Amino acid sequence: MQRRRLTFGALLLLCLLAAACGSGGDAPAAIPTERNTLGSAEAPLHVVHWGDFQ
Amino acid sequence: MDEFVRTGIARFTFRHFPHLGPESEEAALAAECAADQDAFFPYHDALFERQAQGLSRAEMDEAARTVGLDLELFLGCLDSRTHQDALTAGIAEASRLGVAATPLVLVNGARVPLTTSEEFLALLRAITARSGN
Repeated sequence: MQRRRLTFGALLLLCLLAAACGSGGDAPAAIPTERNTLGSAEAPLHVVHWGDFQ
Repeated sequence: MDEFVRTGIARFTFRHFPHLGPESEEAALAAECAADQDAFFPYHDALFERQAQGLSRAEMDEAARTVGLDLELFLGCLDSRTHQDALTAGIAEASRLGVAATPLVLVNGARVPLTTSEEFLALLRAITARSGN
């Protein structure tokens, strides 16, 4: 009985670990976005302008 | 820039480098508060249209009204300097990259000598033509 309880606990722990790792691995990669940007991320030219309002 | 952005040739990013006094920094913070309401570029244009009047707080608030921002949100954001830390970090990063004056423009990471906006647009057209876009 004691052995069966240990096996069940180990299986449960493995399942929890697998779920935690698996969900991260399958998530789509975050697409980096920058504030104050116009245009498509696919655009071949990226113009970065440092400005001052004065 | 609009023609290049609209046609998918260029992506345009504005980064702040306020270095001409406290009004510059206040205006940058105000623009970030407008960005919170998805109105960075309309607010940017409204501020530039008011440059002749100076960048007083009254002008910044009036620009927010002109653009149609939620004023309560805008004023709360600006008064509490919500974006101060991000702005300070951005300025430090710009300095680290060698930005010392404005305007400064990079195209795909390469610094572009900027004289007039017409010359800059001509340069973009030349780059586009050469790359076959």
